[in-house]
Amino acid sequence: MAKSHSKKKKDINNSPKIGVYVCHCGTNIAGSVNIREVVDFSKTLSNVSIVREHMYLCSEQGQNLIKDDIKKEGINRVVAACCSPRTHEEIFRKTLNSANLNKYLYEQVNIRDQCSWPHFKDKENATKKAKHLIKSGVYRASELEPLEDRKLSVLKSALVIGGGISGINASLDLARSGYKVYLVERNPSIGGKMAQLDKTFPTNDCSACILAPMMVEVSNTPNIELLTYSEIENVSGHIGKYRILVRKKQTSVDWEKCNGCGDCSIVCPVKVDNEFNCNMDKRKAVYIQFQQAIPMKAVIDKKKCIKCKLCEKRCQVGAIDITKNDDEFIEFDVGSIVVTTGYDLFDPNKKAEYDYDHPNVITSLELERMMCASGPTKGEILRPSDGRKPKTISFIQCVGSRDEKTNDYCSRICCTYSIKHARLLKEKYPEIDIFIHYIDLRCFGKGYEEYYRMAREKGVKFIRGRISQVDSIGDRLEVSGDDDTLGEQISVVADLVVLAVAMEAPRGSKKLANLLNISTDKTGFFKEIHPKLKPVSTDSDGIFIAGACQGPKEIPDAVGQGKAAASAASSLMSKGEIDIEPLFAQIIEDLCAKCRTCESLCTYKAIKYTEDDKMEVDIALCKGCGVCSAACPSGAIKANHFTTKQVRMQILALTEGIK
Amino acid sequence: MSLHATDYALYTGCIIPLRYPDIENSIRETMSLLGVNVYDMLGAGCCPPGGAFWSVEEMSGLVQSARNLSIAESMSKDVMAVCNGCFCYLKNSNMLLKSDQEKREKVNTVLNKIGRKYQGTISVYHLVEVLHDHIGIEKIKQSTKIKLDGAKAAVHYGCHLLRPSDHLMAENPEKPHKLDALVEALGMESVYYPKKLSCCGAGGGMRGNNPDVTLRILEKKLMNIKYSEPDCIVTACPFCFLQFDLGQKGLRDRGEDFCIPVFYYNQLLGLSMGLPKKRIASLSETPRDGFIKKFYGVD
Repeated sequence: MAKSHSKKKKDINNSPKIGVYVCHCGTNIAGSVNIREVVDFSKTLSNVSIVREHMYLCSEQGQNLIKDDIKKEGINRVVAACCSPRTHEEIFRKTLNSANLNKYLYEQVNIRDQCSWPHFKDKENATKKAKHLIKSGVYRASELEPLEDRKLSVLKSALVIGGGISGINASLDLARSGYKVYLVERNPSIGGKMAQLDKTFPTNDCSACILAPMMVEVSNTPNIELLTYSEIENVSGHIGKYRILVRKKQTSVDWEKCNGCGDCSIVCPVKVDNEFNCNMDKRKAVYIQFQQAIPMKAVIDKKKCIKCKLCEKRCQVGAIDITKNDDEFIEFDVGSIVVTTGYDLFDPNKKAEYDYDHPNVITSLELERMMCASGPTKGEILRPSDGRKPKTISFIQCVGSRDEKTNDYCSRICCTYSIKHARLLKEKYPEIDIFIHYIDLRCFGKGYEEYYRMAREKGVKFIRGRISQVDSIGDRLEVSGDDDTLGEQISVVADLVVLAVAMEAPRGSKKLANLLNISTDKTGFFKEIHPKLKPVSTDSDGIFIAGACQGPKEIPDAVGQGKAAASAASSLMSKGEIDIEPLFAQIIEDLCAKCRTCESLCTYKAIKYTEDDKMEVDIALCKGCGVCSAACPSGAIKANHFTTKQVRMQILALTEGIK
Repeated sequence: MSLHATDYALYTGCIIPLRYPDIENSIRETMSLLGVNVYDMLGAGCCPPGGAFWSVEEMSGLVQSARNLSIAESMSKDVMAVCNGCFCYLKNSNMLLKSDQEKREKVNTVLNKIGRKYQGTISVYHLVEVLHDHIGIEKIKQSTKIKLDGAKAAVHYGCHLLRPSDHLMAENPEKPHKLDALVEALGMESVYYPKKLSCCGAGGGMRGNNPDVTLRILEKKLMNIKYSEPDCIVTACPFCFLQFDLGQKGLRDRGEDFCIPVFYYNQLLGLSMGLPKKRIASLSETPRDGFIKKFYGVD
């Protein structure tokens, strides 16, 4: 039947002449599939004129084999039986292109990932399965049609969501390359979590000293439009032209006029928990987020303001008008998007055994703020309960990390930041006893191992074993658990307990993911396409991710990814246009009854009913999933490259002979 | 919520009927005054506990539990367990059998031989859940005549009221509050003491097999309790009760006397309701007459 089917479209110039290329992939495939048998079998299939095998088909030599056959032997369809199209389809399509054969006349059969690898113990059946898969590929190849890529223009501007260290680097790199950048940050100032840190490992640089100059550069770069105290309200459009709607929250302060003098805060009578200092001290209802804030502008906390107008009267430049209540909305278009929304910290209340309710049980970030000269205690370490200096401090590692009850992943930074805290404390107060209770120490970065060794040399005591409980005993705390090395139960009586809380996906990441049509993994972090080879790309072309919103990361990695995302976005935008695969749905107008079933089913909102009574496919939005094609009651939608005919031939190949 | 919030099949377990008829009385009489009917599970056997069956042969343990559950099923009543061990293993079996069809079928093949069948139609509750969740703190407060103002209680939950937590789900295993709330409903103060959730030392076959270790664990526990200088220890598990009460005698024989009175929760509840001491709180090795005299004014 296969023969008769292909005979129907007998066209001398286009009659299928298929070349089948079977790859050994070293022993990856040849180790469990009998290549000889597969080659002999392939020769018997209709329309196949050449069958070859090669040790590594993707090598230059292997690719040349295919090119030569196209040029000299007149091969006009290529079937490669090798690995996954995810990694290699693009490579072989280029091979076809360079031999002047339309690249969509290529079919890849994966006889490795789902065949030789899982069936390595059963050579006979692995070989049988490989034959089936190749047969199905060959049948489909007979029905392939040449397709042309489409061009899409790309705006030379980018949106960066989140103004932490990763977003700052992405914005600066994009702006330096000449692109217009909109940097949107939800807080009044950029800087992110790094702005809250005192020192950074492994060099103990002052965090503010290395971050603040970059923040200033952001504000001085004309190409960057800084939108702080703002949130993304809506995203529409597609790669090359996204339409962004930003909600700029009402500050009641005219930032054109505000000079950041801070007089308004001085007169404000309302005291509110200061989030920047982890609620350990108070700020005013009208405030500047922190000393190095960029922009250095005041904001009125509308929920806490009592509208006494003292600030309004005090402001010498007349910037404040507390009657202003409405948020502003700003709309603009960009060619690409970089998401750098960072992370949130694990809520230690979820580990009730560590008694976070107790004033002397604090998180590492709270300790960090205490250690900072501009923090709530001006750099002194004091017990929150009574303001006395602690004699013993215990650090509990992996609070909310590597724990099946909370998060099973490792947060990567906690070992080294606790060592940083212990070292800095030992340098300042050598008399304090410091214990670090860990499961494994993972100090993996450049210079981190030496950093750890120096902490030991300074007398920090490292105890391996999980802590089971923290109890208050009088005005002190008993930390109990086990010491794996000694195989004994231990307890340490401490004055201050520091919980190394995990990094978690930022709250609201699911909502943003829905807005941008990108995926999150099971832990809520944004998901990259390929963990090794495409670490900053998402499954929405034109949208990139960087920094801790992709997974726990320290500063150097977050910076590196910010720069990588900027580079990926600029290589996309540099030509001003991109090729897109023609794998979209096509409406056959003569058959279409305009029932609009397809419109209601399309997840990507790619099909619309137009004013002139037509159904139109937006090829930039269409992912070629084929749902519309399958659902269309009149068969009026053709899914390019996955036509009904092509799929039917594959099914036929797999079911032929089965009763 | 339960089938009938006022009707339960009472699963007494082994320790209460064997050793503490006064605790059994306290449960029956207080429940009746609270308007709750408890019905006897005729023919019920051992729960059975983990140490005796589960750790050796899961299926035998399941079959025996399922047999007990099937008795309550034929009464169309939810089970009220009054011992942590019974609660843990009956509820655990019930959850396992409700969710695992394969195990349910195997168990029923065995039960079929004695003409029984496990169907999965009822739930298992601990006495603490019935008192706190189904009857409610307010009703308990109203039922009492004597308020224990000024008395300090060290509450002991016991391991198997809370764990394995993903199956029992009776409370937040790290920060339980229901028994504290019940104790405070009587007017007492539930005091903080270090390592409140640690084991009394009775379970896991420890008390039966290793008297020395069991007393050392108890000693640690009592030292932590003593830290808060409570007037009594309150628990809702007869095995923990036995360990605290009889264990203190063991320590006393070694020359270490803690002398902290121990009560099963319903004994205090009954005394507060005005029930006579003789019927509901007459058996103990560690003296508690002083406590009863001081706070209830009865000899």
